[in-house]
Amino acid sequence: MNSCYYTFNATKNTNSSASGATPNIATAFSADLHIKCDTAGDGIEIHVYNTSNHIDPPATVFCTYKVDPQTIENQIQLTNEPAVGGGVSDILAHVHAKVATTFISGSGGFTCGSGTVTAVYKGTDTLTSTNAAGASVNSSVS
Amino acid sequence: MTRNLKALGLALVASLALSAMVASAASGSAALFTSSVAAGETAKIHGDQLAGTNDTFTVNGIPLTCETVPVTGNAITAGPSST
Repeated sequence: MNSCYYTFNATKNTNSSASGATPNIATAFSADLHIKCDTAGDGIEIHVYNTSNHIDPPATVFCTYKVDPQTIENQIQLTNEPAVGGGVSDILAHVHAKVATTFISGSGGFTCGSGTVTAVYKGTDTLTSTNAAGASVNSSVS
Repeated sequence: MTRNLKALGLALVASLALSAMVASAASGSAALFTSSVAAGETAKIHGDQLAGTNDTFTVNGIPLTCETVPVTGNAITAGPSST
């Protein structure tokens, strides 16, 4: 565990960032991601192994990077996922973001690169909510 | 009673050491993130990859595929509550 954490701000009818991976797309709900670290120099470490299963010996850390504290503006789009089959409604986060990432160390030589590079994160993630009792509850964005 | 929560948190990167994720108030034309919890309760937010898909993180041309993208955090009420 390090001192880093995320906060999010969501806005309505904001174009995706002009500097993002998918620029200038008008979306119903856009989100800013703030990556913050309380301790100077901290970041979110990423370890790249030379195997698909890092538990397998002799897994070697091929490259180590650090996602630096930064703000990623309007590169996450939020949509509602209606309840299906008696379930609850959820939210989908569609992420296609450029992320400043710094090389720390590694045995991958030139493959790892050096300094700070722009990485690209892409994916769709489901956000669900639960109450204090742990029961699933509806969530939506409007 | 439904508590309306402005904005929220989500997180991305998989298998990383992270501390808490929190929500915060949006600026400008704020979106309203709503979790249906009782008054006084804090909604817990959970996230993971959409079923059947894998997130990817490409750094220096190296494509990394996420096996899991666990996300946990608390939503912090930033807007008014309503029924």
